[in-house]
Amino acid sequence: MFELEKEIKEWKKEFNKYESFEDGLVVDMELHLRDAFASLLQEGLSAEDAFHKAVGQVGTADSIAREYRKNRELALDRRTPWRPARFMPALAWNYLKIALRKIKRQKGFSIINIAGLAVGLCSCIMILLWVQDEMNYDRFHVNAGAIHRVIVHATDPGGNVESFPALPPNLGPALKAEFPEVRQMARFVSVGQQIVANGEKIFYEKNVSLCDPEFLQIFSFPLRRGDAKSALFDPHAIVLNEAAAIKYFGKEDPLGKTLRLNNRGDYTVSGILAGIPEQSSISFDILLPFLAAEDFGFPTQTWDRFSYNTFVLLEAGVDARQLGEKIALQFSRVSGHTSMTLSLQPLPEIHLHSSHILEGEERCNIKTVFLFSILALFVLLMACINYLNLTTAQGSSRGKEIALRKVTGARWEEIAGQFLGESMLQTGLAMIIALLSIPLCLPLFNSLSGKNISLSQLISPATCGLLLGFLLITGLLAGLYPALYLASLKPAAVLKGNFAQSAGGSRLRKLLVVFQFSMTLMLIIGSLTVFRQMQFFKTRPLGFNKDHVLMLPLRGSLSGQVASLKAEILRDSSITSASAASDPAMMFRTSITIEKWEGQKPGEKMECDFVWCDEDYSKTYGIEMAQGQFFAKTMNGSLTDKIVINETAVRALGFDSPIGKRLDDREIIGVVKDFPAHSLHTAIGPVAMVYDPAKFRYLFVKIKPGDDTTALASLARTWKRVAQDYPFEFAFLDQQIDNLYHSDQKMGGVINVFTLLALLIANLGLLGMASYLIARRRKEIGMRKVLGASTPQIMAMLSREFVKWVALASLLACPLAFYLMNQWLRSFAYRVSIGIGEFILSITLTLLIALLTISSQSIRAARANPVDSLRCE
Amino acid sequence: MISKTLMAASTRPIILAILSRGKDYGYNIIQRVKNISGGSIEWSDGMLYPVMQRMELDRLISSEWISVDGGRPRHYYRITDDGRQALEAELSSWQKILNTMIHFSQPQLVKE
Repeated sequence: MFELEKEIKEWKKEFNKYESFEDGLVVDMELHLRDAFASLLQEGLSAEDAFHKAVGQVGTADSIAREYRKNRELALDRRTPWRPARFMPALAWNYLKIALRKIKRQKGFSIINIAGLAVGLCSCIMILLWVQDEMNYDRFHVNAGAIHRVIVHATDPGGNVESFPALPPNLGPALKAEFPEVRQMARFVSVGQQIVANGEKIFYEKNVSLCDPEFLQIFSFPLRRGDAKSALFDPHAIVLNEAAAIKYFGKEDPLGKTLRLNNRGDYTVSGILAGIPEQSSISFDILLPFLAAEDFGFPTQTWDRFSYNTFVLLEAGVDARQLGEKIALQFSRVSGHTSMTLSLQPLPEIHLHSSHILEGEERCNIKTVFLFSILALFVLLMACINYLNLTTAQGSSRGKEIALRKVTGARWEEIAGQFLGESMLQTGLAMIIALLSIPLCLPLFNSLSGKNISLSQLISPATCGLLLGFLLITGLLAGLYPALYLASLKPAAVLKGNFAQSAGGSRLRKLLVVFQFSMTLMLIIGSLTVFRQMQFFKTRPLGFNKDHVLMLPLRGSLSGQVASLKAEILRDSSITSASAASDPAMMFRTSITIEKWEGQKPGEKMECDFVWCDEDYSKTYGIEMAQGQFFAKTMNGSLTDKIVINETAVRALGFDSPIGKRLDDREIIGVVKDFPAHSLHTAIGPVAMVYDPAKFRYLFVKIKPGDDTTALASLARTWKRVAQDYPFEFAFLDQQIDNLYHSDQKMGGVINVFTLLALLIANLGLLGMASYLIARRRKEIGMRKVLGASTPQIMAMLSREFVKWVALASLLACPLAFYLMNQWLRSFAYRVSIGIGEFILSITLTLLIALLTISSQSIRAARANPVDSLRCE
Repeated sequence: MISKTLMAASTRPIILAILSRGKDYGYNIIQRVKNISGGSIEWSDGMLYPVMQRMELDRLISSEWISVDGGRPRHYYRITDDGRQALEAELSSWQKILNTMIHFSQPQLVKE
């Protein structure tokens, strides 16, 4: 049966879909349809036919709507009046007002959010400055991109490859002569500490280096006086830095003046350097010409001694990789070192990408850069999580506002934009606080990282751009989810009052809190492990006594005066013993290959760490004998024909009774108990000790505990009397040994700081969540109290949830932390094992701090008078 | 058959002309055009209303809801003063076009 009204109702639905049918326009259509229908009915059509024909006459809703729309489109942005403008200045002010009002009204949450973000941003900015500093090494050289360092890779019979940057002196000139791709070449070697004198002014110069004349042309070390091209041509030229020039010559013009080195040779000052920039991977205080090399015991013509850093400046457009391969081929052909190959390392890579290269310089590792960056980002991420959690959790307090805005026409995007804006505002405030606190944190950071980063670095346009990027990304990270979540609230539900937190939202929040605690736990476990490993280094029995031992360098002719020097020094009763040797324990620099011994298998050889020492070395160091005896003046025959080895060497050689056996041309007279020749990163290997006064470089003086100052004073007096030509300089052995773990300690310090920050932020977040969750349960708590629950019962109930979170976090964090710390510990030959203790301690600590944080809220809630919470409404 | 462009161009003058005789409502306007033109001008009904709205926005016509003799209320359109002026301008334009067209369509006198 045809029902006109029903059909018309259906037909109108189609029109109502279009926004361009404004109020009353559909009525026009309807009236028209009814008129047409009536007249068609009069013409004698059936009701159904008349209706369909009339519908056809009116036309489709779509085409009519389009015409209406054209009428109403605004000239400016083709927007129709029923759509709100994309930007409403009046609303923007309202947003700002509401945002500031919320920050003010919810002080607790705002402080947690802004403080957390500020801490996160501050650590990110610090790390950014540090990373920039590390990345900028060697970039000040004009030719930085074209300079390469030659690296040699030697394969030992076992197939292990060792890479080092020292090359024979013949390589450099050969490269320049045979490869047109090489525009210039310079060899460079540090000859270490030397005595430099201008008359009465005598100093140790720590870092004297030799180099080819081209060195100053290839690199852009700023030369204040003299000519870069000719400064180092003369074999008796010397180039100083400005500080040294003032030290020796005061206000006089140093150019052309002479300096005496090691009381032997005279050198004429031919150039003054303005000082080496800090971000230089090549460091030196004084430069001498390569031609002076032989005066310092360095060869100038050989393929067999590997001493020189060799730098090449390549022609434009040369492929360094290909050239490296060509050079390597030529090298093994000409030099005969067939187990060695060469490659070229670009200058800007030296500072961060040399961890596989054996060299004396302390460099940074790109892995450390990554690690620190990741830690800083984690701290920031945790602050973002706090913001996300607290903002979505409080959705109910903003629900009515959002619903009202939506009802009055706000679109989804506008609400999202408003909340994103709020997060940007809070991040902006945090950024301001972070920037203001940087001048306060920078000194701490510099002492921790051993850097000298200045505030001025912050002002470059690149850094400002990066900071802006940080701001935007942080604001997005923190605010995007809350914005989308809040914008999708259904106004009808909220205004009706049955606003329920979605299960998904609160699950996400729990997950994020668990994530935060996993991170914190991992960092705590990490810090504890690093700390234990460092303690282990300090307390592990070394096989010798490093305390109360002074190291005095022996220079020039001093090594010949050892006997008289020792005799003079030992007259003081506060000094128990003295010994001269080539190297201190744990810092051996030489190794030899033992080629011949009794019972040797064919082709077998033994690598040995090696030291030249006198008869008092074992006494001064407190090294115990396992068998036989140490060197003694009273022995028959020449002491230089005798050798002392350690227990590991005995095992490696396969001797049952080593005393009296011969190693190469020497007779074994004693076996010492094992002591480390290097830092404990590497395992103790075979050690050989030989007597040879010509090789002594240090005098070690053991002083009585507690007499440090008097002993030092008397030592200085004796030194002045016996060795007046040489400045008195000393170092404590235990400090030098501690320095071996400097970079590990530095890393430990940084991890500690990040751990504390992460713990702080995670607990701030927990505080916020706890206060929110407890506030929601006020009535429940009141009811429970009325029904007889005690305060402790309620606290236990409130804490149970959070304990569950920490437990879950531990479950996640422990295996990961175990794996990561094991990886780190692997770099040490002697290491602590990760005990269950660290884990229990970390979890307990985290749990305790978490419970303490929660209790600040839960005690108040549990003790509150139920009347207050139940009375309202 | 009248072309689409001409139809579009003539809609507004015709509506103005009809309304110059007195107020009227949408359905009736269409019927009157159909009757007078003998069915050769036939607008698609729905499209009339957006045109009327445009003319109203241009202040050529005004509209009001009037219930005549207690029947259902209808949306009546009325021409404004601006509308009358526009109608005169349209009429004179159409006149000129028609004159020109007619002039050139008549047989031409050939001068000897």
